[in-house]
Amino acid sequence: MIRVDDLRKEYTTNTRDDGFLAAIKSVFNRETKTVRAVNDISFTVETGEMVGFLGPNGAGKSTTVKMLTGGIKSTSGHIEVNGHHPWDDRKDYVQDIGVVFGQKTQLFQDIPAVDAFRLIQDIYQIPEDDFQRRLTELTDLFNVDEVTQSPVRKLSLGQRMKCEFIASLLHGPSVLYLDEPTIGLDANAKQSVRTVLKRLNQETNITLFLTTHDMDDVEALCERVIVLDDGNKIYDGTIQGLRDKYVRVKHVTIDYQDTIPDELIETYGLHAQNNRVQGQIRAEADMQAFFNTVFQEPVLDLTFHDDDLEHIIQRIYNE
Amino acid sequence: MTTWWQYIKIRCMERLQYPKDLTFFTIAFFLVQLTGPVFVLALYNTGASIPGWTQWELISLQGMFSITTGIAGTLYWGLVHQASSLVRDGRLELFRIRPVNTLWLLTMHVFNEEEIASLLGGITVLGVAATQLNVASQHLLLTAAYIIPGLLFLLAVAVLAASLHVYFIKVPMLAAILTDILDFSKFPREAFSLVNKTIISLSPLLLITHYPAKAFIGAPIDTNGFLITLTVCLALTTTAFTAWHHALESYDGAHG
Repeated sequence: MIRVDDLRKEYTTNTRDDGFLAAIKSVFNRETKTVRAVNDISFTVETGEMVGFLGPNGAGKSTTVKMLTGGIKSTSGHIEVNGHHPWDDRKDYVQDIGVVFGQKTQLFQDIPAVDAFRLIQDIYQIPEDDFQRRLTELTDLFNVDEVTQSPVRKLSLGQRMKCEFIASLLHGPSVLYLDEPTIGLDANAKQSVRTVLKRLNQETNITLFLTTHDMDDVEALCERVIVLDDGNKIYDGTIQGLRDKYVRVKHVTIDYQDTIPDELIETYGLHAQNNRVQGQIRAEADMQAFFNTVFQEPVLDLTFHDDDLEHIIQRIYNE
Repeated sequence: MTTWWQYIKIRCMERLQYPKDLTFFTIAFFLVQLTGPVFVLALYNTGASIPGWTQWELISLQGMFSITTGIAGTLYWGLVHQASSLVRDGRLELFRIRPVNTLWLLTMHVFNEEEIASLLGGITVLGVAATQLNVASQHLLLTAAYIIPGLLFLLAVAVLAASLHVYFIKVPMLAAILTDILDFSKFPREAFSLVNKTIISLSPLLLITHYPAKAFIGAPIDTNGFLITLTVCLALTTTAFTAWHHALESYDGAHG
C-alpha cells in the first residue's frame, strides 16, 4: 500500500530578466524564488491497484514520483509504502519496488541486456535458481527470448523497453513505478506492453503507479486516476467518475438513408453534409427527445460516444 | 565487493566492444606518463636540479604521481567529471533506486579502465628508477603504506567535487582546475619557495607523491609534517563525505 499525507516539495530557483545585462547583474545580485512543485497532496493506493498519475507538464508528477521512489527528499509531509519510508529506509525500501523510466535507461548500451540482468541479480542478491526462473518467466512474458543476447544498442525501441521492464521486475517487486513507459513505442509495442502489465497485475497483484501523457495507456491499464495541476491534486477517482464530472458533450455521427431531420440542424446545431450529420450535443441534453428526433427518418448508421479521455484531460488542464 | 567486481566486468566488457579505440588510448595514456621523466632528464641535463633530489629520485617521484593518480583515476576520479552530467541529465535518480549506497554505486559507474594504462606507466617509471637507485625491497612495503593517504586525499577531493556538482549543477572547469592543482604534487616540497613550501606543507598534495617517494628512496621522512598533512587530509575527507550527504538531501531533481 502507498500512503501519501500532505506531501510537499519546495525548491529554490534563480530568477532574472532576459538579456545580457540582466545576466551580468544576476552574478552580483541573484534573485531567488521558492517554487512549490508539490503542494500538500494526499492519496492512498491499495495493494494491487493500477493508478494513472496525470497532469500537464510542470504539474509535479515527476517530482512526486521521485519522492515516492526515494530519489529526492520531501520538504514536508509523509510517505509510507508497504511500511517503509522511501527516504529514511531507502535501501530496504527499494528492494521491494521497481522503476521504469521511459526516457532513461538502466541498461548498458554496448553489451547484451542479459549482462545487465546479471548485475541486477548481484545487487539484489537474487539466488541463482530464482533468477533463472524469473528471467525465463519474464522473457517469455515479454516475448524477448532471443534479443537479450544482443547488444542493447542494436535492439529496437520496443525491444529495449521490454528489457527495461525485465530489469525492473527481476527482483520481484510488489510496486512498480512507471514513468512514461511507452513513450516512442509504436502501436503494436504499446499494446504488447499493456497486455503484459495487465497480466502481471492479475497474476502477481503488483501495484502499478503509472505516469503518462498517453491516455490510451491510462484507459487500457488504470482503474483509477489522480490528476495533478500546478502541484495540487485536482481529481482522484475512477476514469468513469472523471467522465461523469468533466464530460460536457457527446459526439454523434449519423448516416441517413435519404433525408436528415431539420431539427437536428436547427435545434441541436449539428452539421450536415450529404446524408451525414455530425457534431456534439450537450451531455445534459434530453437524450430521449434527441433520439426521438434522430429516428424521425431512416438511419443507416449511428455513432454516439463521450469525449475521449485525451480531450477530457486537455479540458481539465486548460481550466 | 562482488557487486563491484560485476560492475567492473561490465564496464570492461563495454570498453572491449571498441578494441581499436581502447588500444589507442591505452598506449596514449601509458606514453603520457613518460613525459614527466623525460622532462626531468632534460632538466638535469642542463645542470639544473632540485635541492636534495637527484635525477632518478625525482623521476621516482614522477612515477609515484602516475601510480597514485592512476589508481585513483581508475577507481573513482571519474566522480569529478561525471557527477555533473548525471545531475544535469536527471540520471542521478537511477542510482537511488538500487539497494546500494548511492556514492558506492556512482563510484562503480565511473570506473575508468583506460587509467590502468597510467598506472602501468607509473609502475614502469618507478621500476626503472628502482634499478638506478638500488631500492631495497623492504622500502616497497613502506612505500605502499604511504600511498594510501594519498589515495584517501584524492578520494576526498573527488567526493567533494561530486557534491559541488550536485549543489551547483554546473561547476565549469572544476575537473581542469583540480588537475592543474594536482600537478603541484609532481614536484617535491624542496622545489618551492619558503612561502609556497609552507602552503604546500599544509596541503595534503604532499601525500600523493612526496612522502611515498621519500619512503621509496629510503630518505628520512619528516614525521611531524606528515602528521599535519594527514590530519588535514582526514579533516577534508570528513568534510567531503558530510558535503555529499547534505548534497543528496538538497538534490531536488528539478529537471523534469
